[in-house]
Formats: sequence, structure tokens, C-alpha cells
Amino acid sequence: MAVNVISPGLSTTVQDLGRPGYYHLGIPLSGGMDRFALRAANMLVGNDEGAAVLEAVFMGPELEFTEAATVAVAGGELPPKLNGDDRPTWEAFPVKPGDRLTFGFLKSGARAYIAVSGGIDVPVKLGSRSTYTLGALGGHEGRALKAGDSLPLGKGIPGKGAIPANLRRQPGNPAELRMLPGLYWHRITAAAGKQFFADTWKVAPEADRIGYRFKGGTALEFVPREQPFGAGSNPSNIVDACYPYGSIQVPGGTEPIVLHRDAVSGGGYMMLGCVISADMDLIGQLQPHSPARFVEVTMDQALAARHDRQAALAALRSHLGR
Amino acid sequence: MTQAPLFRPVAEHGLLVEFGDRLEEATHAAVLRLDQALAADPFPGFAEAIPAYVNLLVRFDPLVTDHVRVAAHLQALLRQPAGAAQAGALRTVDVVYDGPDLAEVAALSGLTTGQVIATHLSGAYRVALYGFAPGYAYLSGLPDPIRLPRKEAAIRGVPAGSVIIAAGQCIVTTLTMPTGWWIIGHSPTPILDPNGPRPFLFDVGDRVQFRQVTA
Repeated sequence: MAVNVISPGLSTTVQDLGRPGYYHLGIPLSGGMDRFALRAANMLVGNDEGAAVLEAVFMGPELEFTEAATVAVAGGELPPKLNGDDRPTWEAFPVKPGDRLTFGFLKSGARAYIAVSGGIDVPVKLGSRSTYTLGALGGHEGRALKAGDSLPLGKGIPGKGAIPANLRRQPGNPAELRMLPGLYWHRITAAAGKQFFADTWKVAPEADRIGYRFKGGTALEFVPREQPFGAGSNPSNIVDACYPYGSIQVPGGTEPIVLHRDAVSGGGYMMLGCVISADMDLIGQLQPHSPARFVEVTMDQALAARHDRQAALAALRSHLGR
Repeated sequence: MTQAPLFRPVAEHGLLVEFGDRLEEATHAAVLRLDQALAADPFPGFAEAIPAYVNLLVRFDPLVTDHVRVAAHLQALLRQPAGAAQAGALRTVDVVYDGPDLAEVAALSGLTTGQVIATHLSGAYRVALYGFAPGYAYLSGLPDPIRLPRKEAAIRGVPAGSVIIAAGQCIVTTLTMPTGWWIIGHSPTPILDPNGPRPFLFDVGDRVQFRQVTA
């Protein structure tokens, strides 16, 4: 059982739910940027929700199947075509040996999750099949796919079904990213804090699995202080600290960066706050230049949002009879 | 003496235990003590703990536990008597002192390049933490005469294996990455081998000695 890569797309990697437990060694979680869509695609094809899938960014790969299987594509609207014929997204469809899966142009979102029944069966490295390209770890040879790669498939009992639009999750326009103001919020002036939430930001071209950079908002004004020993000289510098996933740094006070699944685990920039987990999936679906706003929430609201996301996943399972 | 730590809810899945905001040996020791105590006695819903110089990030599943319960567990650990500090293994790392910044480090420190090398070799280093990227072990113990702030701007594409210093710390890089630190040499000693049986040369707390080689 295998999937042959005829052409790889722009950057297609093997991802699952990631590699927790090694962040203290500088190895990040990795895994799907949009975990909701990754789980949905797996549910559709009858896999465990955390099975390894392909994450395609902006552009789809061309794949050839050597055996019969079931496929589902969820996340960004990257229209699948089987032997040239349209297939729906968010819906399971069968493939036969020799079938070719290609994709049309991306209509919305940024990342599509291509699940195949049985899951992509690359070796487990440090507890996960996810690709961490910066560390050349996991996935298929630690890198994005190339033409000529052959990916083994596990054994599975194919699922079926479709996920209606009201059960999907997609970012709004502008995307609203809920955040908890953080540890160093007091380091910026009250006016700067207000402006940060008032501004509509745009995703910068430097937006990838490590972090999403936003631009077009107002530069931050810092409260003056004497820098503590061990911190850099810019007011945005601190004594090196660990960075939670979702944490927002503003190097030099100009362009916020939200650290994502392949985050660097620590460094010397202050964190303005942290995007809540429930909205990290949405960031994974933002294209460069798309608008976004940061919305302040309380810890209780963040936890409620986490429960809401669990409920949304439960609704998918119930809809698919899992 | 380290003051009582502050518990900061930095994410819905994380609590930062802050022991101070200045880079001091005693503060870092307190971070590592709590990290070890937590590893020995985790709480239900514990995900992982990431030590830095002055704070410990404790990650957990907020659907299982919450910030108040996690803080109470950590408070109880902090009240326990401190165990004996572990000595840590001694690791030797080879360095070729051919870095592009060696002359500038010498000029800014008021030393000759030979004195910079001798000073760097004389340091008693300890692995303080991993951070930034896989295998980036932050070594504390850089001698004072070559203690410089970071550069004004980062340089891109600094190759893996570079020996870099700044702010009283030293790192042997394991990936080609940007850095704003001063590059004084390169090391042929493998630090990171993610596919090997022991992915990392160092454990936190290990002692490190540099040895000069010529190629």
C-alpha cells in the first residue's frame, strides 16, 4: 500500500497531532497547523483522529495510489480532482489502484489536509510522524515531499460521509484572533495597548509553520525602564525565557509574530500575550495579506472557547456516527 | 537569595513560574530545582515543563486541571526541602577559533585575539537550558572579560556548528539559523543527532569544557 508523489505542490509535509514532551530540548510540538481540519479529514476516512495525513500549503500535490483506499480533503478550499474529475472537499471518496489525485487553485484558506484510510505510515520519531523540517526530523526523511517519493500506508477500515458547512471551522474576514494579554503587557503604554486591539493587521509574507508575522498596525510605545541585567538593549528584549505556543512577540515593537506549531522554544523577546488554542487553527488558514484583528479575552473566555472547540469536535463525531 | 516566585497564567494551557527578572545563578538554580521536583511528582493533566534562566513554563491540559490547582501543586513542591544539586557529567567540546567576529570581540573587550581565545577556554561552563531551536544548549559561565551585549542586528544563515557568545552565555549552534550573537569559532563536535540513540550530547546541568583544535 503506497501513495506515490508525482509532484509535491509548494510545500507538502506529513503531519499528525504532533510531538509533545520535547519542547524543553528545543523540539517543538509540530503537527497540523489546523488540527480541527486534520481531525475532521481523519474521521471522514475512518482513521484515528491523530493519524498522519498530508498538509499541503497554498497548492496541492499530484498523487498516485497503488491500492484501493478512501481519501478526504478538509481545511482550506483546495478542490480535489480524481483523474481530472471534480471531487468535493470535506467528504470521503474512494480511489482505485492507478488513480491520480490532483488539485485546482486554492479558493480560500491556506492549508488542506489530505487524509488516506490507514494513515501515512512513515516511521515514528520521538513519538510522532510529524515533519519538523527545520530540525530535519520525522515525516518523510525529515523534509517536505519531493517528486518520486513513495509514502507507505497503514491498514485501515475505510470510513464514509461528509461534513456539512455548518460543522466546519473557518476564519472570518477579518480573522478575529482571541488573545490573553500576557506577562509583559504592562511594558507597553495604555494607549499602545488600546491601539493594538483597534488596528486591523495584515498577514505578512513571512508566515510559516514557525510563526505568523503581522504588519500594518501601529508601532508599540513602551513604558520606559532600565533593562534588567542579562536582557538585550531594545525595550522589547527580556532575559531569555520560554515561549508558549501562540505567544505573541513584537521584536523592536513593530510587527507582532504569533509562534505556531514549529515554534522556537525560547529567546529574548517579550511576549505581549498569547493567542488562545482554539484560534491557533484559524491562523493556519490565513493567507499572506489577509486581514486579522486581535481580540482581548479573559482566562474564563479562553477556557470556554476551548470547551466550545471540544464540543465542535464532538458534533463531528456524532454526525459521522463515531 | 531568591524571593518567592510569581505564578503567571500566560496561556490557558500554561503557567509561568517566575523566580526573578535578572540573570543570576541562584535564580536559575531555583528554576531547575522546581523542574526536577515536578518531573519526580507531576500532577494530573501535566503536559510538560520548560526551564529557562529565570522562569519555568509549566504546560497542562486545562480541561483536566486549572491554573489555581497547578499553582497549589507547585507551591507544595516548593515547600519541600531542596535535594542535593547534581554535579552533572563533564563534556568536552572542540573549537576551531576562526570565527568572523573574533577580531571585533577582541577590540570591544580590549584584548588580543589570543587573549579572547584563552579567556573563552578558561571558562567553567554549565548547560543552563535548551532553547530557541533543537539542540541549542545555552551555556552559562562565559568569563567576564568577553561578556558583550548582543549585536545591533542579527546575521542570517550562520552555519550549524558555530561557537557564538553574548550576554555571559555561549552556544554551539546545531542548525543554520540567524543570530545576533558574536561568532568566535566553529566546533566539529556533534551536538545534535535526532536519529541517534542519544539525540543530544548534553543534559541540563552538565559541565562543559572547550578544547582548542586547529581544523
